[in-house]
Amino acid sequence: MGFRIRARLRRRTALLVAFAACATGVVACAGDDDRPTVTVLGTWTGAEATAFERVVAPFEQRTGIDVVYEGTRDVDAVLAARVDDGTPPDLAALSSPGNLIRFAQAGRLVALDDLPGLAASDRDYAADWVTLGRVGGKRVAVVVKAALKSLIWYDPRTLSERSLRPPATWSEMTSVAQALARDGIRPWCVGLASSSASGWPGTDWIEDIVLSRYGPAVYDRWVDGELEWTSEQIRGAWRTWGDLLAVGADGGTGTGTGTGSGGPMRALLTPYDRAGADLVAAEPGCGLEHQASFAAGWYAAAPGGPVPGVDYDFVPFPAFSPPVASGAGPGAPAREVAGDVMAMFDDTPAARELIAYLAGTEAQTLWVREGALSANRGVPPTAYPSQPVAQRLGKALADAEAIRFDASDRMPGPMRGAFHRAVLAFVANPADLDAILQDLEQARLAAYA
Amino acid sequence: MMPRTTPQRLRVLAMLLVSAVLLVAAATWTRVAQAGEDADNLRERRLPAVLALEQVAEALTEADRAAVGQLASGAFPLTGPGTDYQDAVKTAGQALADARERMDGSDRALSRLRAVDGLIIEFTGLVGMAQSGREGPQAVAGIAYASDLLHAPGTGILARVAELRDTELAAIRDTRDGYWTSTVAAVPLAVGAVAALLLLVGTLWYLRRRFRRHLNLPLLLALAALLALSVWDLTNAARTRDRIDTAAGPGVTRLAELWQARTAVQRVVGAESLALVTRGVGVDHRAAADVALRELADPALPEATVRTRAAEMAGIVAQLRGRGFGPEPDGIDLTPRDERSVQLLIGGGTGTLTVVAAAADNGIADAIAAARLDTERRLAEAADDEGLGLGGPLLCTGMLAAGLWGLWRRYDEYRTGG
Repeated sequence: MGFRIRARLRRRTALLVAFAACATGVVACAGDDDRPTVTVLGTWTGAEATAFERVVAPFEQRTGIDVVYEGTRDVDAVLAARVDDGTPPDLAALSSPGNLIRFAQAGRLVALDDLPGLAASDRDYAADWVTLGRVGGKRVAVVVKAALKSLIWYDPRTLSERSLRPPATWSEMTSVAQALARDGIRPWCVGLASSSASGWPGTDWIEDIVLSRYGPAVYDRWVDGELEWTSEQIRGAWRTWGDLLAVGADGGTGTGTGTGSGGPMRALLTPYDRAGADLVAAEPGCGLEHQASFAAGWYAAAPGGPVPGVDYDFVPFPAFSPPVASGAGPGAPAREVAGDVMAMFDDTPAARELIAYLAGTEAQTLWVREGALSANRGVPPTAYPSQPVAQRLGKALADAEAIRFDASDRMPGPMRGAFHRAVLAFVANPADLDAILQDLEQARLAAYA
Repeated sequence: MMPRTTPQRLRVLAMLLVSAVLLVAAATWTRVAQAGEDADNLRERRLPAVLALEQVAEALTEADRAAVGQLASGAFPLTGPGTDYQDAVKTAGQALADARERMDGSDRALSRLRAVDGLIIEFTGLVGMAQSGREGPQAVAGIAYASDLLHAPGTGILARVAELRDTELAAIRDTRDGYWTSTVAAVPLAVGAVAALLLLVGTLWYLRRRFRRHLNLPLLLALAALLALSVWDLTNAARTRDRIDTAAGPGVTRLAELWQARTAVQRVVGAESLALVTRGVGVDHRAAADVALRELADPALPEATVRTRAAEMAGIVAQLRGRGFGPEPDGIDLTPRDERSVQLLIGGGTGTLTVVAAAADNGIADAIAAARLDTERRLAEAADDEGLGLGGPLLCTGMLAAGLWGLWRRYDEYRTGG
């Protein structure tokens, strides 16, 4: 009975209480913080998230707009769930521009063609970078962060102690790998574990080999879904990768059999950002790592405080020799790049201001100072940290004559997922290559239909 | 301007009495209604939301444990992650839906819930991928990736669920420390009651002097009603505060800790199983088992039997680790080869980790049921107005009627010259 009476009382007392509370100041009846807010979902966590917060700090201070950032490594899954639910963030940073296609086709993205200041900032980017943000002729995203992918990392001391030179050609790379294996060091540091995106470091390998061995034209056809996975070129790239990993297979220390460099289990279960810890360790566990420019941050954070240029350095991914396709020979290699693109899901003035700011030279310069790379040509070279590796990475990106964006990131989501899984299946059992490529081909037919 | 005539004074006194009684009534009704609403909100929404989220975490950890257990047993190629896994995933889904119903419908909360939903789909997808690897490296990798997605510090599914839970716990603490469930909420009643008391006493004194009457029974009755209502209301306010303090403080904390202990039990078995099938490659899952065992051995956990089971589990874990990972697998079948280790881990006999963990889990489940009953009872008592919802208005009406009757009698006496 008490409960029923209370329910009646609630209605009667609600107004009285609200009035009394307002009158006496017990509760605030008006929001005391009406700053405009922009919610941003992105893939950056940890130090990268802190860097982003530093990049947007001047923007917040100047505009009074509050940037609320949420970072997750599983951004694709989280974003898809939110978009389906009708509660997307205002802005989302995607490392896979291929996902833009799905959201754009579903009408979820805001067109940015008339964004004030964007045309001006576009002049600071190579046309390839601007094109990345276009879907169906509409501009739906801007590149806010760049990475150079076609790199081989090594520890200069490990090589020099064995009288080895950093590999500049394909044959030198295989020779160095064999020499390391003979000396009891795993030639390749491989880590494929990355939560729901596990396998992506392997896709970078295949992509670089396709680009290096068969050239940009074949690469583009493959990315656009016009080249079969069972084609000679793609099959050749997988085999080449398998051959590279098989160097020193007998000296593997992981479980099971199969690919070298520590066996499949080590490669499958090692987190992508910890594979290189063995490369810079006092007693090196592995000698070479194929990884993007952002690996510099992981090396720097490894135990013992490795010094850039002394304990770790890089060479460009060498051109395949002998070159198979014209224009892909040494001296004119196309570089694989990657980056995060920012797209708008909720059109608000504050979100427009932020996305324009992030594409601009000021934000890009700040990001570079935080250790990232920028595709924005307006960023002065002096903005890069004053150490040789960072400076040369910035120069390598700026000097790249031909670039191609990470293939898997440009592929439609289902194709990308299949590619990731195929890498895992291949590392688990390289003998299954034919079946794996058949499955990928089936996935291509469905994904590009 | 002060009234000069006796009728005027009596009319002013009557008006003052009406005002004072209305103030007392309003203060009583408002406090009772709001405190009851807060207690109901805690009992019907906030507490179940917290418990549902804890259940999501526990069920997913159990699913992880069940899937890796099947892999360690060698039955994975035939059974997949098994029925325990499927049941646990269903339970997690239902608990998440329950949490969604109970939690506030803010965009932020809904977004977070949807994110968890999406990640659970990823989790089950990775376990599905593992099935295609039979008992080989891809199976181990799929299960390990799923486990990492679940447990990744800061960004994993469980971290996100914990974030949601902490938001709800903060809301519970806010309600507990809020105005309507505090002692301060009785201040308006006290002010009104003192005003009414002074007015009634003053009126009695005035009437005694002006009309030379020693007693005015109706006014005395009004005074008694006022005192009764004040005592009743203040007692109820103190009881509400006490019950909510206990339920929303130590009660909720204990329930959350017990659920987390259940999750820790599953984690120990899952992490040790995963360490065995991955043979220590990649992420060190045994470190996670150590953390979980420390949580279970914490003296802050009041269940002595659970701590005893935790000690047994720690002993079995030490035996397992002492045996190492056993012989290297042959070919691409990565099923652990040391039968004794597998037996110690997932065997059905006494003294195996799975059986001891199940006993610990049962003990904690019983403690959760008892603690939940106790907490819900306290919140129900906090929400109970002890008849004030009906008795308060009746007493106020009686107080008003008696007071006005007492004044009317003197007014009528003056008017008729009696």
